[in-house]
Amino acid sequence: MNTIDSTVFIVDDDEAVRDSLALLLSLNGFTTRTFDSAEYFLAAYQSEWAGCLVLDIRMQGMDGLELQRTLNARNSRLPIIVITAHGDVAMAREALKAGAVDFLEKPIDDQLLIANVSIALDRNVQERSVAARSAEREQKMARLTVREREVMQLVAAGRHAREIAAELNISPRTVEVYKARMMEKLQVRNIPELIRVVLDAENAFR
Amino acid sequence: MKNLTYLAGYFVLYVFLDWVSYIHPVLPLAITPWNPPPGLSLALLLLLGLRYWPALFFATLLAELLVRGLPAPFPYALLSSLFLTVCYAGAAALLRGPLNFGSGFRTLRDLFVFLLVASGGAFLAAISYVSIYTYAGIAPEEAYLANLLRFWVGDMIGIMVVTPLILVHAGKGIALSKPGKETLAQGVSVLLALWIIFGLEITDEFKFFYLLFLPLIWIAMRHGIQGATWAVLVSQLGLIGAVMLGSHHTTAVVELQFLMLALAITCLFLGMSVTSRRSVEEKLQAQAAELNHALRLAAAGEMAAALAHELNQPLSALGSYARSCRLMLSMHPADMERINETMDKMGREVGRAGEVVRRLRDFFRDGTLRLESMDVPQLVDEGLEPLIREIESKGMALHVRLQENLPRVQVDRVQIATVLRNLVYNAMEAFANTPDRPCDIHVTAASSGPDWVNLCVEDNGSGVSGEMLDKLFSPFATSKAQGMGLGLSISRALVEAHGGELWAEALVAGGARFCFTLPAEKALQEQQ
Repeated sequence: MNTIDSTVFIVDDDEAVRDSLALLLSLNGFTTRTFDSAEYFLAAYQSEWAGCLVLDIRMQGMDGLELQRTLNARNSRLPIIVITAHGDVAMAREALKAGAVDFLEKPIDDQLLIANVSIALDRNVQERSVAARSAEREQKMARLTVREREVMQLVAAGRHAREIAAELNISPRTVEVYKARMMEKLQVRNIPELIRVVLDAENAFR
Repeated sequence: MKNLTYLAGYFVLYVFLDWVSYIHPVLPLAITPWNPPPGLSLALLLLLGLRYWPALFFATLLAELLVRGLPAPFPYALLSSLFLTVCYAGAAALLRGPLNFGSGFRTLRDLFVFLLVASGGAFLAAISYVSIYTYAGIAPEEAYLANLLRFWVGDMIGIMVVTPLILVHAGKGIALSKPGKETLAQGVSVLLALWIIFGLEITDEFKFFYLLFLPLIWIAMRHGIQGATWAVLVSQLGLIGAVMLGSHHTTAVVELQFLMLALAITCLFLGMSVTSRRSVEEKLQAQAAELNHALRLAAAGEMAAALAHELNQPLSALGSYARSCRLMLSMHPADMERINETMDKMGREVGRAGEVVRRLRDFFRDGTLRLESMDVPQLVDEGLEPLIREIESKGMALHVRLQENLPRVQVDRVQIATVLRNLVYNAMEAFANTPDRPCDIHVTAASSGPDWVNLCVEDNGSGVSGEMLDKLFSPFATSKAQGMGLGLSISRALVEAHGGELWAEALVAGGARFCFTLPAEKALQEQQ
């Protein structure tokens, strides 16, 4: 997974701005796709899209802030770079509060735009790999039985087989069996690896 | 220095007034039927300050010496001058101090307070003066009350004629409105009334005195307190002149002065109430003008913000295109065709920016429109052309219905196209809350009488509440200034600059209709 699969989605109701941004970004090696309204973008939007969004705030119909809210509500991970021709501090603050990467004023400084697009794409790649790893981990965890999960918690907490057996009221041999099956299902080879998986899972819940 | 000049003027004027009014004196007391100097004294103290009170004393004494020839032995003259000074300085102190009179007549209360204090002061002055002289044996005791009354009315009429006149005009100069035909007629009518009263043998002065009320009321109604003070002065002078010419008994003159006093007070109160009502009106008008100015500033601000937005779009595109061209030129081999194409696009954006700047200039050229003769269908086409694709892409239907043979209109095509686009944008936004309905926008043009063309934009969207209809056009209500949406307030201003009107109607079936009128070319030419 890398930035090559990523697309810069440009949403602006001004045709010339849209066209020139797409040209500039594609010449800089980015894949682009343009939309002339927030409504069109939403209609086409797929949750697995990778990349980032360059979004004009003031548009006829649904404006940029509204699109940002809608995407947030749909748990979209596309980072958003907000652009405006209208130096509007209040809107900028709102967009940044809602998680926008940055706020650029038209006429747009191309260096700044490209830097921001790169940052946004990197962020998207990272977030998606984190998301992919946690999805994989959760898939593995889901395969554990209740007992195996209990054993996993106790092993990760540093208990010995005998202590676990006493706590769960089963024989140490049985504990060893559960432990072996659990480690196999989680595809970990040793205790340190197991501890990392458990910690990751806990962090993900935080 | 200036005050010293005023002071010298006071002395001269005091003696002069005393001399002029020294007619029909009741000897040996030298009480005259009208006595303007105390009015001058009150005006002096009210305008310049109480610290000038000694001037009153010396002026009184001086006049006693020069004009009246010292009717009583000197110590009595000294004593009476002192008492008169105390009475009138006291009256002035009372007005300036606890009664908060200030130094001008601004309200009816001012006039009322002044009247009360002046009559009280004059009364005390009369008691002191007549008592001293009666005590001295100069005035007969049996005439005490009569003398008291004469003294009082003489001083009162003097005060009511002189003090308001000076105070009302002090600081403003003699700002009479240009003496037009009406002022002339008013002057003539005063003289006519005086002539009927005094000039005709067959009329009795007392029975016909009321005639003088008519021109004075007229003047007070028209010119307020300023006119009233002049009218009172002229009538009083005319009355005194008539009395001097005729052979009137002194008693009759004093009785006439009572009538004159009543007339003066009536006239001053009427003038005062006219003036204070007018100043309230002026204040309201000034506030309305201020508000108007604020609204216009807000509209200009909104316009500027919208134009800045529109200007930034092509500038941004230009910047990106230029950068792109540079990148393409640095590639090997350079894609010349694509570069050419991009340069063409840049040219178009420059043109677009230029159009925005031209519009800005037009707007701030303060009402000068670049009018040209336009066909209504062409105007509508140009206004709607940039929107047609957007309307269709949003699944809305645009219906244009133009009446045949519409007269041509004289308009600024950029401004009216902006208005039309703005109204259609509004209509498009009206559908935002009604997603599951067919969205129809009707644009119609029809002649309205021979002189007007009526353009309407109608939608079947969410509509406008009656309450909102009133607020729709205020720049504060449309502060959201979405996109290139020049507020409705600006649209209205633009239409009004063309001589037309813009209004909104809520439709019973839901939706709204915005209409504006443009004057037909023929009607415009007739106006010019």
